[in-house]
Amino acid sequence: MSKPKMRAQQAGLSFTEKIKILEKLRDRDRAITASGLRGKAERSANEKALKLEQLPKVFVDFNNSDRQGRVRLNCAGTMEDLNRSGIVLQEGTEILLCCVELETEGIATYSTEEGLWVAKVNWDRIRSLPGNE
Amino acid sequence: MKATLEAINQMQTDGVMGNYAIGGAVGATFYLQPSATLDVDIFVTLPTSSGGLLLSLAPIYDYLKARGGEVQDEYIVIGGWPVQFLPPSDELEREAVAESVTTTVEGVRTWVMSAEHLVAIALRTGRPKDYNRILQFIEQDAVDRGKLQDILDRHGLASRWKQFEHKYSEGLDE
Repeated sequence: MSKPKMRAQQAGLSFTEKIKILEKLRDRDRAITASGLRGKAERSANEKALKLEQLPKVFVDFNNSDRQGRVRLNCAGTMEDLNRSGIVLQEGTEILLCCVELETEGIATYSTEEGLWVAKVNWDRIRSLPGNE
Repeated sequence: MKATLEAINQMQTDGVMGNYAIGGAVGATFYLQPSATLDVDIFVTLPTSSGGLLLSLAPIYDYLKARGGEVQDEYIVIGGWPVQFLPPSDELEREAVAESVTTTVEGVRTWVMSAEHLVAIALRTGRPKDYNRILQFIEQDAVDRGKLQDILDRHGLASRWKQFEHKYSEGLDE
């Protein structure tokens, strides 16, 4: 069943039936809070956010990619950011790849084929930067 | 919720409070699919005390505490639900209580704000979750757009609605 159909079906329930659902949702929420799972999830999210903040931020051109879809770390802006932050790229260095509108995490690797540093892009986590949604 | 509403209705019968209407997320649930909420917002008219202009919630809290209600911050827990009593703060909220619709929950009579008043109050409150709720009302065709526009015009919310429409025009055009 599609989401709009499911929403319409639930909206058509009697108020009593809907209140029963609200009570179940409330009880589930209380159980999660009591179990401490929510705290763990929040801590994990905070740790992830902290880790992201600590990653060196490097400008890239996401269109400037090699045949394997890895973004090349050879733009002028990339070099400037690397020099400014004092990062010496090594195999597996985690970096935060960003352009004007987007950012995501990447892992540096050396392309022996092209003789330059590239980054494997985590396309699953690409996100718009604030103001560009 | 049955016990909660029975206690509130009894307060009304005992003259501790006047008319009331359920608002907020629980009120919206009357019209939309249920969405999780932890509390119940009750907009309530209070009898004016003789000799005083200030409206106080103290009689409600005293009444409920004497009957086992437990105060938690701005809520009082009745029948397992944290309830927040809100005296109408302006004409829009007074009208929302006066024009509420009657329904029943497990056979207990109660009153819920109209969909149009819920949307107008959500627009005025203006938090992201309020805007999201408005979009749900629109998406599910749960508001009478003519009645809503009349309320918005009368309560000085027309320009804010225009801004909202402009920002979320894609959702409103569907």
